[in-house]
Amino acid sequence: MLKKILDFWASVKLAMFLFIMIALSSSLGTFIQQNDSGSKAVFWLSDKLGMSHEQMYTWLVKTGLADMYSSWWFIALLVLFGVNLTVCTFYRLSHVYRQLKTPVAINRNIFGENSLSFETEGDAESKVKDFLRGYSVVEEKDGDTAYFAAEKGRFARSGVYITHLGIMVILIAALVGVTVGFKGNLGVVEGQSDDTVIFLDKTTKKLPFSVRLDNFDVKYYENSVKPELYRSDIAIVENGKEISKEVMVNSPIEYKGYRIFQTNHGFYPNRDLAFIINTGKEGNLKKIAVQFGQKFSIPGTEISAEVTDFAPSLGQDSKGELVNFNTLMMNPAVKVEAFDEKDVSLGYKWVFQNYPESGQAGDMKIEFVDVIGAQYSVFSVTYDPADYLVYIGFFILGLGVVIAFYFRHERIWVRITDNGGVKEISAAADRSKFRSAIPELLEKLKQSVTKEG
Amino acid sequence: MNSSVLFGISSITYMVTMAVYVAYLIMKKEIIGKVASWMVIFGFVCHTIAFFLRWVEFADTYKLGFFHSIPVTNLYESLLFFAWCVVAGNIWIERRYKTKFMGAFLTAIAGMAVAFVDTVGAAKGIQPLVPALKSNWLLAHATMSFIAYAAFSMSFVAAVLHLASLRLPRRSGVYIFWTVALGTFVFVTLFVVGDFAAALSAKAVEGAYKPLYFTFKKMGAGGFAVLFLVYAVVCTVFWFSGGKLACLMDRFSIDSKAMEELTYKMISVGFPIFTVGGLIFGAVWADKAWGRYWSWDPKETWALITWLIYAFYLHARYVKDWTGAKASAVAVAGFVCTIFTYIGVNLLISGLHSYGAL
Ligand code: HEM
Repeated sequence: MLKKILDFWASVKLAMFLFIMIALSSSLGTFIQQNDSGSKAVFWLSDKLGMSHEQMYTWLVKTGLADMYSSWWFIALLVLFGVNLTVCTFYRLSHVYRQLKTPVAINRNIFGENSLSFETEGDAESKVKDFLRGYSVVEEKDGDTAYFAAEKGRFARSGVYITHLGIMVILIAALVGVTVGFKGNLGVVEGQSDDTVIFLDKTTKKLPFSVRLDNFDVKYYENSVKPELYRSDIAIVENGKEISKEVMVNSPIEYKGYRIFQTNHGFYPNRDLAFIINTGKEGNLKKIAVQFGQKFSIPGTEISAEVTDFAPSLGQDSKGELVNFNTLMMNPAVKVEAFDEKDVSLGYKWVFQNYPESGQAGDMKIEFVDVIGAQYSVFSVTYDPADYLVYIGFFILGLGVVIAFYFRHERIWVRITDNGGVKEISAAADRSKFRSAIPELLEKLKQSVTKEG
Repeated sequence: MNSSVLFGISSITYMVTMAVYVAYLIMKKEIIGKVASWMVIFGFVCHTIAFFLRWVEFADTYKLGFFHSIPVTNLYESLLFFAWCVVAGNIWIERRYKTKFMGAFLTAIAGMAVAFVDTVGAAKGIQPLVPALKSNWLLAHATMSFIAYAAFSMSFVAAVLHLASLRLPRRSGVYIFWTVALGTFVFVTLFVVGDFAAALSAKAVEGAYKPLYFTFKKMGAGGFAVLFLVYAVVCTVFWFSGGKLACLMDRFSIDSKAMEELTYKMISVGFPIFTVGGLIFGAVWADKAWGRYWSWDPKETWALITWLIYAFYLHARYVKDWTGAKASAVAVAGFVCTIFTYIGVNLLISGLHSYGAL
């Protein structure tokens, strides 16, 4: 009875059934957009099945299809699969262990219809040994007959089991990751700080620290709207202590097991922007911070000025008119209006961050250094205590498939009978995969042994 | 010499070679076969030089460091690389199996990839990388995935030939399956090329061309009906004349068993590369860039499905000793998933990997 149950759980048939079930069900989740009540699939299905949109989505939620990959039945499939794999692997472990421990032995009875026989003159034995270089060889003499047994790549038999072990480790690590870890988004506007992670399902979680965004920068490829680099300068603040870090795409930071990634950014138009400006007489500039509508005086002069407009991406259209192309910070510029001591407007000028000479007026200069509070950065924050275990699993799995497919266990048996100068040779072989190549291998042996010289 | 010129030469060579291989199949003259083999090698050499030239150009233009610059970063480059792998496989098969029979099919695949690339010409220039793509993991992931796809496409050809050689009756499910799969493959390729030509003539191709969007957007219910009709006709033609392939194979004494074995061999070559490069490196990259090694993104999920189908094939074949029609039908299904993972997901569903759509 127990044996029957074990046999069932160890069966490759069950494994093949589960392969198909997992493949089919996970494909469903790619057609029905997950966690999205407004997706096309929901409209399409409700239309076809004659249900209201709400009914349809409720039904999808109930069956788990709306969030399939964490539904109980999908997880159950994966667990079944894991159990199947584990039982199957341990079931066969002693068998494999024996195979791995047993070196090839002389076998006098192996030469039959599948072996190759031929005759030759000359020193067949040393030629056979030559051919078997690279194999580990045992030999035996019995009167006029010499027997050889050779093998290589016995370890290759472990490949399948290493592969399976790797998958077990990954499945376990994934289970831990899903139950204990999390991933959410944290959006921060320049100059502000936040400590609340928001998840896909709109629930939130407070981090034990907060993240302040000091500066966000996008660098573009020359003459292109393709970004080359995003960078956020952040400070992690915990219990009054601060640590400054730099986060870039592909270069996350780690803090106490939490990892913070640059995932998105955007432009947040508001009236609280602060402009950092260098201004004054040429050669004697002073740095100041100003806001919209706030007059500032230009040091060393009677003149005052005010920022009246801001464009993140100013350029010229085909008619030569100034236009703001998009909200990417491609070519930021401020419009500065100047006033004399009686508050009479002297006109305005667009000052570009990328072209400092644009702010020149006589010996007076205004340089637009930066804008703060205009951009926000979205980070994803992840926490997965089993992360390293996944990597161990990846390594084992990778090693396993390479061994399983690119190496094989090969064995050769040779018998040489000295028949008064003429040597009668029989050879047989076996290999763990691609057995159809055995005749070719034996033929090679024959070629090399019967070759002159 | 400029890499695009050389790419052009090799593309044209592949397409002409395909015709020469077909001529060889029809006339069965040894000399024609020899010419085809030499032409393939010529195209391959040009292609290889072009590949390295572009690599160097890329490294020079963007100063990215040598390994960051391997040219597989957009659809154009990756399809060319795929074609390169297929042609390399073709040269190997000719030597290993001493037959030129597969040449026509493999150069057809390489030629289709290249034609597809040529029609999607908008993105031919060397383009800068977006930040998320500047990662060694991603490049290793993309490169190895394409090598695996190439191996899978060869297993597909071998599996189709094996199935053809079995001379199944027209009513058998497996026969219907493989002829329809082949018909679908040819139909989709032609449709994509046709769509692009239509978009091109309407001057709708600027910067970002999304395959099939042009035709789909304009199509009314009638258009879809016609399209479906054409699809049905193509499949019926393949279904009707699939048996001819077996006669052709007989003429060249192509062994059914050898094709079955080649299917297994190609999957054995592709599977580990796909496991390590496609799934593991992909997961490592996702972990480094997005903070999750697995997020059930549609593209990831379809890669997993493909992997599961091939795992199914391997267990069926290796443990359960399936060698007949059923096993090869699974291999065909695996390739259908491969194509869907690579192209279908970008067209029908999109996710993190949308860079692949140009
Ligand atoms: C996705 C999961 C799996 C992968 C990637 C995998 C991988 C492999 C590979 C690569 C082989 C060698 C095949 C060949 O050389 O052609 C193999 C063999 C095998 N697998 Fe799996 N496997 C998986 C799941 C399972 C499961 C769940 C079972 C449970 C029944 C199983 C049972 C076996 C058996 C019995 C063999 C043959 C072992 C031998 O001949 O010594 N596999 N597997």
